Amino acid sequence: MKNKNISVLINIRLFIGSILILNLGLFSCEDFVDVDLPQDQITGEVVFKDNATVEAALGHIYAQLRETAFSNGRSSGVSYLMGHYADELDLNAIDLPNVQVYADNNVLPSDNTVKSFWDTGYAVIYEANRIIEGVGASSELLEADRERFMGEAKFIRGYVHFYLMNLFGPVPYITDTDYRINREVARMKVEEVYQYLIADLLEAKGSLPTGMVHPSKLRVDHWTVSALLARTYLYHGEWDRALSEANYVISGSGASLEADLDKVFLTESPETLWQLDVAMNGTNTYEGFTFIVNAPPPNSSLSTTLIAGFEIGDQRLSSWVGSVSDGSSTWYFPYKYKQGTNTEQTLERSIMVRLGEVYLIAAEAAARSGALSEALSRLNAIRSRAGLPVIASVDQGVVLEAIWDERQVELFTELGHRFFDLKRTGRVTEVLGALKPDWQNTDRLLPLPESELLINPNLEPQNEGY
Amino acid sequence: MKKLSFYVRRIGLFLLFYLLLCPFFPPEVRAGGYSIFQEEVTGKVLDDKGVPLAGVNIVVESSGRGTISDFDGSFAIVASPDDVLVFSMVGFRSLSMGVDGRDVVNVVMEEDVTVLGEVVLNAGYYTVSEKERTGSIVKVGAVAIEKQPVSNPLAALQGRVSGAEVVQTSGLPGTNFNIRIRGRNSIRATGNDPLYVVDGVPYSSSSLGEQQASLPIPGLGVSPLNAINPNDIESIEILKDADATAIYGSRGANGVVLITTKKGRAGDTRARFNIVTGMGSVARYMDLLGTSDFVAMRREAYGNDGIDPIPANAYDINGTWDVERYTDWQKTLFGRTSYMTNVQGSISGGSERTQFLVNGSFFDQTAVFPGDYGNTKVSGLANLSHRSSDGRFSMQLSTNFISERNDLPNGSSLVLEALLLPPNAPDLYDGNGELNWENSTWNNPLRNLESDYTSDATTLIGNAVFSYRMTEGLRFKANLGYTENHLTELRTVPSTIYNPAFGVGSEYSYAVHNTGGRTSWIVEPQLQWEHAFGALKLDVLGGMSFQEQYSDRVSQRATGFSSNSLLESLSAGADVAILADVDQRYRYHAVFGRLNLNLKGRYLLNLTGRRDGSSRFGPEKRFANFGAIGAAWLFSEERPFKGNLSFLSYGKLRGSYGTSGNDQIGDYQYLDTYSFGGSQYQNAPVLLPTRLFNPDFGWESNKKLEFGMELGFWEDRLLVSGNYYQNRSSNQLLGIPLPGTTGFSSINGNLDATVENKGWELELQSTNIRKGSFRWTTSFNLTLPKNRLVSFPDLVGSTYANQLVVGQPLNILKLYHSLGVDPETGIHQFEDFNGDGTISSNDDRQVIKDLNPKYYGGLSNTISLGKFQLDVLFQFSKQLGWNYWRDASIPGSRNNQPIEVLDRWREVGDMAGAQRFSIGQSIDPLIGHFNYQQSDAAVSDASYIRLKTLSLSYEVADKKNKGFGCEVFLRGQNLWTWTDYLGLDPETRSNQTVPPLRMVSIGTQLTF
Repeated sequence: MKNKNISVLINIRLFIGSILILNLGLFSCEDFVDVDLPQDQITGEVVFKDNATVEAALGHIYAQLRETAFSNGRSSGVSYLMGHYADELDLNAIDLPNVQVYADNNVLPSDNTVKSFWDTGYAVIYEANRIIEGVGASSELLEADRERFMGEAKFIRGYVHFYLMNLFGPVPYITDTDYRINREVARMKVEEVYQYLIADLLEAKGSLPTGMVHPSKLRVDHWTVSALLARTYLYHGEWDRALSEANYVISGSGASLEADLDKVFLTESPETLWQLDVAMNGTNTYEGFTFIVNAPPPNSSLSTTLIAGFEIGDQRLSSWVGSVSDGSSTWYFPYKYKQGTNTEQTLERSIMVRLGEVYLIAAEAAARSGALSEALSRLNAIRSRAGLPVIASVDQGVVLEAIWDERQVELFTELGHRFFDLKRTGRVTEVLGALKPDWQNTDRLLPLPESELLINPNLEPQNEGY
Repeated sequence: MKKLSFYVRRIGLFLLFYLLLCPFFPPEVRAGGYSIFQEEVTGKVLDDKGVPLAGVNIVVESSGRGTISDFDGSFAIVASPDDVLVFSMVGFRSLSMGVDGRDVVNVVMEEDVTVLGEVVLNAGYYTVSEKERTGSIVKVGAVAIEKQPVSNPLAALQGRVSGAEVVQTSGLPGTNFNIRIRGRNSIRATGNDPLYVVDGVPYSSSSLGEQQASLPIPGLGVSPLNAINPNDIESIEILKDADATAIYGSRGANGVVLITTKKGRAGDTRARFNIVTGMGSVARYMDLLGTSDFVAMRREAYGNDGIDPIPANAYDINGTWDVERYTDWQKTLFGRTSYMTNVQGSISGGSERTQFLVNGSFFDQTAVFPGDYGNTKVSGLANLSHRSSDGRFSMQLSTNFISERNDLPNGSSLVLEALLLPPNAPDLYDGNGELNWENSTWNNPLRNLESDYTSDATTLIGNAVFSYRMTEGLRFKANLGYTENHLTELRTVPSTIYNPAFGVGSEYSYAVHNTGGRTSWIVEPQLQWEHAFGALKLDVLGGMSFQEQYSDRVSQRATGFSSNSLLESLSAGADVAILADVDQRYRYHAVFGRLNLNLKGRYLLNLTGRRDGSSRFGPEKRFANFGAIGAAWLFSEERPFKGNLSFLSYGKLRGSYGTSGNDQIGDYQYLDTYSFGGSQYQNAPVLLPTRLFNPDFGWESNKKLEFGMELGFWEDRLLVSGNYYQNRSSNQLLGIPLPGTTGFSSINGNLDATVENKGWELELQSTNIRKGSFRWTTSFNLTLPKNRLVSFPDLVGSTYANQLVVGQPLNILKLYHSLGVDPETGIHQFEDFNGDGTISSNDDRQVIKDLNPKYYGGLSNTISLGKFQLDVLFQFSKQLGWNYWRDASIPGSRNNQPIEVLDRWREVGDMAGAQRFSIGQSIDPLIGHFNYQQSDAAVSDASYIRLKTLSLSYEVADKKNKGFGCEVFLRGQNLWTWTDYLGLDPETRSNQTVPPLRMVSIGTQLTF
C-alpha cells in the first residue's frame, strides 16, 4: 500500500516535471525563432508600392553620384583625377602617390581609384536596374509616376555606362539585377554599348515629359536626357542627330546661357540642366572644397598648358581661374565654384550638365556636317560671353580646331571633358605624348580593376598595355 | 546481519518517503529526522608531513551531506556508523574512509601532482572527469592565467592549448586576439570564430563598434572579450571534437570556449590582495636607413630616373631640409614605455552549504604613443552558492560587471608613418612649442595626436543556476543568464590635424559618435537522470534552450563646429548626419540531449544530440539536427595491463564522430530589404538596397572525426596524449565574392565545397623531479595542422578561380615568382609562366604559398624550490607570412626603407637583392616594384619562438603558519623573440600597428 503511494507520488513528480518542460517547449518552438524586421529596413516589395519610397530609392542614386561615384567632386572623382591624367592639372604635392600615378599616366590595374570608379559605377547601375524592375512590376503606382521613375532610372543607367565606356573602353552594359548573370558578363564591343546607351536614353526621353518637372534641376528631366543624348551622338560621330538633339535642347529646354560668368555655377544659374543637391543646407560643392586654394603651395594647380590656352582677353581667366602666390611663384586653380566652405544658405551645387556644353556640341556637330555658319554662331555665343571676339572662318578644319580649343577653356576640370575630347578627336597621343614622358598610346584607357579580372575571368583580356 | 539489513531497508524506505515529502515539511521537522539514526563523527585531516589541512571537503557518501575541515584540520559531521566519508581537496588525492562505527576518524591525505582523476572538466551542460572524458577538452586553469600580466583572457591561452591558434592582432591595449580552433573551416574569412560561453551564457564576440569611429583599433574594433577580466576566471575550457561540441549544435563547428568565473569556497573567510605594476615597451623595431644612407638613396634615385636638377618639391634633399638631421622615428612615435597597474582584492569563504566570493579589480595600462593614452578597466565579480540542508535544492548566482575605457590617438597610422618618414624630416615642434609644419613641406606625424579616440564599454554578465533533485538520481536544473554590453565611442577629428596654412577652420572639424548596446538572455531548463544498473552507470540529460539577443547601435557624424573645443558635444555641430541606426534581433531555440553509459569505469559511450532553430535563416531552412557519438576505453584497467605493466598507470583510447554547424552569417541576411542610408537628397532620407539576397541559404555543416590515446606512466608522473582529428566542413555558407558588375561585392549562399582540417595534437605533462621541497614539472604541446580544400565544383568558372586551389589550404596566395634583379636593367624580374612576354596578373601568378602554420605549440616548465617558484613558457610557431615588402613603398621614393635596400643594383652587371632606386615616376621600376610586392619575395619565413611568460615568485609568509600569506613575484611577458622575420613582428605581421609589447611586472599577493 505504502509502496503504491510512493510510486504514485513519483509519477506525479515526474509528470509535473515533464509538464513544466513541455510547457516551455510548447510555447512555440517554431514561432520563437521568427523575428521582426529592424526599424531601419523595409522589404524590397514595399518600396515600390509608394511614390515616396521610390523617390527615396532614386535619392540614394543621386546621393551616390554626389558622394562616391566617379562623378563626385572630391579628389577621388574624374574632375580631379582625369584632370591630372590629361593636361589640365599639375600635381605639386609629393606625398600623394595615389594621385601621382594619374598625373604620370602610370595607373596600375591594382589602383584603388580604378576599382572605385568601376565598383561604384556598377553599384549605381544595379540600383537603377532595381528601380526599373521594381517600378515595372508594381501595380500600386500610377502610370504617369511609373513612367517618370522609369525614365530617370534609365537615364542614370545610360549616364554611368557612358562614363565607364569612356574610361575603360569595351565594358559590359548591365540591364539585369540577377547576380548569376551579372557575375559572368563579358565585355561588349564599344559599338554595342552605344546601341544600348542610345536605346536607354531614347526611352528615358520618351518617358520624361517635356514640361518642367523639376525646376530646381536637382533631378533628371526630359532636357537633361536630351542633352546627354546629344553628347552621345557627338561622341558616336552621328553629327546630324547630335546637332538636332542639341538644337532641341537649346530651343526647347527653357535654359539659357548665363551672361555673367561669375554666376554660371551658382545654383540658380539658368544654364544648368542638371545639378546634384547638397547633403545639407549650407554646404556647397566638393569641387569648391577640392580646388580652391588658400595657401601656397597647393597640392594641385592648373597646368601652364591650360593657362596658355586662354586667349588674351578671355574673361574666364579672371572669373573662373583663381591664383595664389608665395611671393616668388604663382599657382592657378579652378575657381568656377567660388565656395570652398559652408555658407548660411547653399549657394552652389555640383553641375552635371549645362547648356554651355550643349552649345559647343551643336557647334561641333554643325561644323562636322559642313554647316559652318551655324557652327560659328553657336561657338561665338560662348566666346562672346567670355568677352572674346567672334570667329569668322570658312575652313572646316579651322572651325573645328577653334571649337576644340573653346571646349578646353570652357569645360576645364568639369567631369573629364578634356580627356574625353582629346580621345574622341584622335589627338590624345599627339597632345599628351608631348607633355608627359610616360604617356603611351595604350593609356587612352584605364586598366580594368585587377580584382575584377580575378573574380570574373570572362572580362579578360585586360586592356592593352596593362 | 539480519538486523543490519532490516535497518538498511528501513532507512532506505524512510529516505525515499522523505525525499518525496520534504518540500512540504518545514525544515525543523526534517532536521529532526536524521538524528534518530546517525551520530556525530569527528576527526582531523593532516597532510603527509603532519600539517593540518584546512578547507578539505568531507562528504558522507550515502547522504551527500558534507562539511569542510577547519583551520586546524578538524571536522565534525553527522554520519551513520556504516557510512563512508569522502575527503577531497584540490592538489590532494581523494580519499574514501569507512566510518566503521568509529566516533573519531583521522586521515592523512597525500599530495597529488598530476591529479588526473580529480580534474573536473566543464563540458558546458555537464561536467566530466579528465579520466572519463570521451571528447577532446583542454582546460587552462586560474593558476596559469594569473601568471601572465595580460588584460585579455585569450592572451592567456597562447602556447598552452593544442589545436588552438591564438594570434594577437596588435600591441595596443584593448585590441583583439584571433583564435582558430583546429583551423579554418569556412571559406568565408569571417565566421570562423568559436562560440564563447561565459558561465553558461553565450557571449557574443562581435564588436559593437562603428567602423568610422574605431579606426584606430585594428581588426574589428573593441573586442567584447577584452571586457572579461582574466583575474576573474577560474578556468577556460576549450571544446574541440564532435563529442564535446555537438551539444552546441549549430554553433559548435568552430569549437567552443567555456569561461568559468571564480566561485567561493567553503572555509574560513579569506581575503586576498594582489598588486602588480609593470612596464612594457615595443620589443622589436625595424632596422631602417640612417640619414646619410637615406639621402644617398634619394640622390641616386633621381640620378637613375634621369631627373636633374633635383626638383623644387624634393624638400628632403634639395636643401630645404637639413640633410644631416637624424630622428629615430620609431622610438619617437611608438617607443614610449607603457605602464601597467593591476590591483585586485577578493574576499571569499562560506560554510559547507553557502559560499560566496567578492572580487574587485582595477587595471590600467598606458600606450606607447607620445601623449596620454591607455586602457583602464574596473571590474567586480560577486557570486553566491547555496545548498539546502538536505542537499536537494541548490542554487548559484553570479554577477560580473566590467567597465572599460580605452583612449587612443586617432592615428593607428603613427606606426606606419614612423617607418616611412625620412630620417631627416623636420622637428616635431617649432620654437613656440607648436606643431612644426616646416613651411608646408611635410605632414607632421603628431597631427594624429590632435585627433582622439575614446571608448567606454560596460559589460554585465549575470547568471543563475537552480537545481532541484526530484527523486533519487533525477534532477531538474534551470540555467538562466543575462548579459548586457554597452559601448560608446567618440572619435574627434579637429581641423588642427591639417596644416594651418590650408586655412581650414573648425567648420571642417568633425566627430563621430557611436552608441551601441546588446542585451541577451537565455533560459535553459534541463532534466538530468543518473542511475546505476549494476556495473553500468547511466547518465541522461535532456534540455531546451531559448535565447534572444538584441543589439542596437546609433552612429552619428557631427560637422560644422564653431570651435574645436566643442568637438565632443554632439549638439555643438551644425550638421549631424546619421551614419548608422541599426537594431538586430537574433533568436535561437534548441532541444538537446546526452546519454552517457559507463560500464565498470572502463567502457564509456557518450551520445549527444541537438535540434536547433535560428532566426538567421529563411523559414524553409530554419531547423537542423546535429549529433555525435564518442567512446572511450580505459584499457589500463583491463587485466592484461593492470598489475602486469606496473609502469603504465593509465591508458585510454577514445574516438568520436559527429556533426555540428555554423550560423555566423549575420542577422536578416536572407531577406530582400532596403535600408535608410544615412545620407540625404532633397532634404529627405534616402533608401538603398541592403544587399543582394538569397532566401534559401542554410546551415554550414561540419563533420568531425577524432581518435585519441592517453597514457600515464609511473603513477601518472608522465602523461602523454595524442589526438588525430579530421574535420570536414561542407555546404559552405559564405558571402560568395562577386565582381563589381553585380553592384555588390558578395552574396550569401551555400556552396557545395568541402574544406578539411586534419592534424595531430600532442600533449605531454611530466613531473621530472619531486624530491622534498624541490619540484620540477614540464608540459609541452604541439599541433601539426593541415588545412585543405577537398572539393569545389566548377572552381575554374567560379569567382574563387584565382584565389583557391583544390588540394591546397584555404589560406594560400598565388604570387609571381621573383627571379631577382636583372643585372642588365636593375629591375626585378619575374617568371613569365605563360610565356607571353609580359608579366600579367592571373596567368603569371602561379607560385602558391601557404600561410597556415606548419606546426605550433608551447613548452612550459615550473620549478619550485622551497618558497621559490619559477614558471617559464615558450610559445612557437613555424609559418610563412607577408613580410615588410608587401606594403613597402618603392625604394628611392621619399619614404624611409629597411637597410636591406642597400644591397641594390647600381650598374650593369650588379647581382643585387634590391632593384635600382627610383623615385617612382618611371614606369619600369614602378611595375617591377609593384609585382615584387605581389611576388613570393614578399612572403617569407615568419616563424618564431617566443619567451611568452616568465614568472618568479617567492613566498614570504605562509598562511598556514603565520596566519597570513605573502607572496612576491616578478613576471615578464613576451620577453624575447627569436625570429628571422623581416618586419616589425612575426605574430601581427603588420607594419601598421604596434607589435606585442614586452612587459615586465612586479607584484605582491597578500592573503589573510
